[in-house]
Amino acid sequence: MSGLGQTPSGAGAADDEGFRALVMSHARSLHRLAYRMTRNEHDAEDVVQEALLKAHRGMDKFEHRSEISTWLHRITTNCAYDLLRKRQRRAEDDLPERDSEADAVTQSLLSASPGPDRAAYASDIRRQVNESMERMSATERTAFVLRHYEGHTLDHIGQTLGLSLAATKQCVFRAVRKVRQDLEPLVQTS
Amino acid sequence: MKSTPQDSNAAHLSDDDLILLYYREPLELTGFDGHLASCPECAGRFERLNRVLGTLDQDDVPAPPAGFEIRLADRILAAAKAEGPVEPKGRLLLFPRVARFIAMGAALAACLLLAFNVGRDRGRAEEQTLSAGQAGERVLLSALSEHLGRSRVTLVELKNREVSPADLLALQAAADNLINASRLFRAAAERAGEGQVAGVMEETERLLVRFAAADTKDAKTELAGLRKRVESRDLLFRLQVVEAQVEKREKSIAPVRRSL
Repeated sequence: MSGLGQTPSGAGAADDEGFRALVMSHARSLHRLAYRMTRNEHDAEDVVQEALLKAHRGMDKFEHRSEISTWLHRITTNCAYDLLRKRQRRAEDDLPERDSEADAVTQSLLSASPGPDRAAYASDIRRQVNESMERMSATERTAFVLRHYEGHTLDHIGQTLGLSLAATKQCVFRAVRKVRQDLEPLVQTS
Repeated sequence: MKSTPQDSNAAHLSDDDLILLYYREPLELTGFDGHLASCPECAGRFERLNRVLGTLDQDDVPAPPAGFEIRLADRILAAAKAEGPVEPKGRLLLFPRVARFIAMGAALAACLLLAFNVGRDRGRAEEQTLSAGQAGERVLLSALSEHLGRSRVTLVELKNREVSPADLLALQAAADNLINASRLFRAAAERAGEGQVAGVMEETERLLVRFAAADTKDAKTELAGLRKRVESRDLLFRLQVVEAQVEKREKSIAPVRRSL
């Protein structure tokens, strides 16, 4: 029998163990946030990887005033925001990629949901949300995701994005207007 | 006459006001809710906004593929290792013995004493070396760092090890040893102004105390509880974080030129 401390999880393994535990605990919620912002699974995974690598490199910078999950979400938000701004600058058109992704989701919904009507409706919503998000600037999209999906206050979002409260409000207002324009016809006909 | 939000004919809510209401953000104006209750037009617009934004909840996020976290951790740790050699920290693989803790505690106490006293004797000689105060602080930080690393190794053992009844007793003894050492180091950390480090150590101690003090029939249950709390509180990572911070502080202590 191996003695205490002589198991495979020695000091070297312990160096990694805490980080592995962190990844296991938080990766999925970070992925959800990254996906909401990027609307692309591949990008979301890249963002989470970059964010966690930054967390690993910068763990000595973690300030214990906040929870680790808050800290990780902030890093992930910044990584996704950077990606969106780069994407915006390059004006890349990711539509074909998102379409195939939407199809895959539609397929999974078809197999999981009670009927094709509901699946088609979910697919329509997804497509419209994608289009709305595409029409948003990187800042609007980030502000909207943080407000609508993550439940952050406008004040907190302003701090994250380096914007005044008034500017943050305007970002959210513009984003909601775009969502309304795309989704309202769908909701009215449903 | 100045119109108020309650005057439904004079001051309807704007779309932006309705968005702020939807997100329950503090509003600059009061009486919006009252207006909504008395104005069918605004209530109707608010209902439409609710329906539109409510549909976003049906916009599901695709789940990442199975094994996503494991692959992610592998890639990140590999990338982190590729960035530069990991400095050997020389941590003990065996759990510390009481005598080692006592020796370390004595060294720590001596360092603290040194750190307090040398400040008074600054500027005696010109030299390009660590001052006694710096040396004392560095030893303190080094001892703290080593203790934190050892705590982390212990928690990894407690979290992962398949245990027999005999192992349980040994793990309880190891936890007990760690608690005794931790109290000493925590007190030193508090005195040295390392409040964050002391906080994480205190949390670790609290977890260990229950397990170490459990009688034979309850030890396994307590170990299961400890494992859950280690995970839910990110304790392994937080120990790693404070350890990294202490190591950074230790490395930042540079020699200075001092003169009379």
